[in-house]
Amino acid sequence: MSTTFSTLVENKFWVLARISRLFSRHMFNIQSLSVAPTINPDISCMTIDVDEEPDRLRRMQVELSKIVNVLSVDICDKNNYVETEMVLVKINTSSPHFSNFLKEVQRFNARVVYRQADIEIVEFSGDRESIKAFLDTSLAHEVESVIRTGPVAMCKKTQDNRRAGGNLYMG
Amino acid sequence: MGELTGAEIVLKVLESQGINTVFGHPGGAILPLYDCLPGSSIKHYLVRHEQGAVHMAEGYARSTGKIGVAFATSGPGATNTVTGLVDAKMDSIPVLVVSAQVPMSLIGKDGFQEADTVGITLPATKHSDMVRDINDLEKTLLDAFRIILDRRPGPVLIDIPKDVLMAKTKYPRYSQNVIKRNPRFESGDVQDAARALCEAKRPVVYFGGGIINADASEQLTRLIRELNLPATSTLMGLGAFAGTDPLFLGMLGMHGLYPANMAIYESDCILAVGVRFDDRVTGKLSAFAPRAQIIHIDVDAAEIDKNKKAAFPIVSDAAPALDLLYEESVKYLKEGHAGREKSMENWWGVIREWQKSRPLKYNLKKDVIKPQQVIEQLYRQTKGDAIIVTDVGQHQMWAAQYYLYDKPRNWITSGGLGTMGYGMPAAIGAQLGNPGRTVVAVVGDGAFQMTMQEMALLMNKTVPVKLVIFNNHFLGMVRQWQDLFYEKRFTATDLTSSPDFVMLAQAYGIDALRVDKPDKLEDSVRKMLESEGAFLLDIIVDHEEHVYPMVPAGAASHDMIVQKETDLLYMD
Repeated sequence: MSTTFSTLVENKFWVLARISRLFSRHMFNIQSLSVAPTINPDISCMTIDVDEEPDRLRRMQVELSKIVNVLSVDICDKNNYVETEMVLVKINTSSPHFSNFLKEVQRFNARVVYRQADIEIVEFSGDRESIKAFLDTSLAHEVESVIRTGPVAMCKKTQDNRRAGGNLYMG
Repeated sequence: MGELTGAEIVLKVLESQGINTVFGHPGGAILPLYDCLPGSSIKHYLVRHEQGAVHMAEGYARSTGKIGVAFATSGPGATNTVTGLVDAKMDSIPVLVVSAQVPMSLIGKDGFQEADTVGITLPATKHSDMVRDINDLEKTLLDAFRIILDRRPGPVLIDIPKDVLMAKTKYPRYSQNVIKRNPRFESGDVQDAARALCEAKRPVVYFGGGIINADASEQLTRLIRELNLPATSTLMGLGAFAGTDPLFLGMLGMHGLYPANMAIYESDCILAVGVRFDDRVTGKLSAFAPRAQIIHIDVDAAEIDKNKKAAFPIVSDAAPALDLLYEESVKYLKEGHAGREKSMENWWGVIREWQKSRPLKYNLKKDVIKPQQVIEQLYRQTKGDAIIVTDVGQHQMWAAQYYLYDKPRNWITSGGLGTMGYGMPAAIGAQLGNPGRTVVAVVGDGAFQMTMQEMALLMNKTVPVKLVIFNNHFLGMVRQWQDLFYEKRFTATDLTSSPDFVMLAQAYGIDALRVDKPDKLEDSVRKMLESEGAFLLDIIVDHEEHVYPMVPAGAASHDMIVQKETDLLYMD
């Protein structure tokens, strides 16, 4: 089952390498990873999606929180987190599937973000289930390529109730 | 508050943290730092390879409880520290490596002696970092000390580009106070754990290196004695509880003592403290302590449930957790639990029977020195009070089995990583941290040759290390495995092409002696121990001797091969 870690980290050199090497050290394959600074430019939020056993997830949570540059680690669940992902789909307008594809994706409220000559790129974002439905539809129409951002997750509560991690050394 | 160079700041911060000994090797990038050394109170020891510097820092740290420090230049200097760093990480040893880097302008351009040191050492350290701005230098170094000491100790590497070492900035900006460990109790139900421990019919204490790192020997001893508990140690924990105490069953694990492994197998409650259920301890995990409820105390939350599920997980520094456990146990027993005395008597009866039927033993020969008898001789003549530092292999296991360590920090060995070549450099570090003490490096003829160039440091009168080579002309432990599990195909384990170690020592200006007859052993050991400076004793030992008991890799820990006269016997 796919699981999402949401971690706050220091926004600096080596942090991504430190985290990604920890995942490979424990033989986890990262399905998707998204990183960007938070309101505080010194802190970034990493959303990391993996497909793993629950036991191993908890262990990874503890291991992650031991990294000096990691401030907090949460395993996102539906009750506490909103998750969304963005997908870009490229289709050739001369494809016999094109008109049908366009009709279908309109039902998803997908947005055309690029149109030139015989190429059209469509953008769609949504939760796990709608992304799956959108991709199933797209792939059924023999699209040229698909790019996914992987999910980003945001805690629903006003204050992030995250467990303290290895944030002892932050100045 | 004046202005200092980066190099001066490094030395000032080290001095402020009580560091007076550093091991290292200079080179182009680190020259600004070495150039300032004469003006500082820090004594530097020039190694012949940077791996030796880190092992020396480890030996120094383990024998003193202080942080060991090593310097290395950029590129090969830094990459040579990697084995030492991983060794320190595996055994949780507080070590700081300061490496120099090529100037900022050359980074990423494959400059001369440039290596991606931080990248290479990410998995080799507890933390590693590069200082890009002179204004961050002081804080980064102070943070390094905090990180090394926080919770589970470990090695930190700080990489400093040459131009940062030469730049100037204000110093000091932060407090000069010495950074100390802050032992904390974090979580766990001690009351329930105490009840389980007191109610157990067949309890065992299984302790490890965590006790030594936490300086919690006193707390451990008080609890074991108060509750009359049988106790067994990992390789790393030896000395945390007195080896001569009748409650001590000896080491457990692959080459553990029969009663220790059997007690674990039969136990119904194990107090595991400062241990990590390593495969060399547990053997086949599912058959390890199959009937026991586990109370697991560890400072590192990631160790809990990693290998063995704990019924009572306690995340804490060992000292406060053992204090609480002691208090709760005493309180519980005060309520009166008459049955306990009887059940403990029964349990001890079973254990004493194992001790009687399967003692640690070996067969003496008239014309060949047995390695075990060397350790016994060392024990007798040092009255059990030397610091014993070993390399990795058969000699290491015999030194763990036959020398009884009554105090913590008298036993120094590479446990987790099993780094051949660790012994002599670590002994040098231990000697420098303990002037006046007898430090014996117990090494094999194989492992010794991995770092033997560090003998150059033994010419220094302040390093009178006694070097004992267990010379069996083979890579003994590998040969043992070939003998037992590879149908005696002794591939690539013959070391007869080794140099004459006595002549080699003499070439370094070190007194040396070779002994190959049992009746000369006692005198030779005495001569070595009585020598003023360093001494190399090359002892030709029986190459056919095996380390017993032995749990074959992957077997259940109670399935030991034990020695019986000249035959081998498989036990159940």
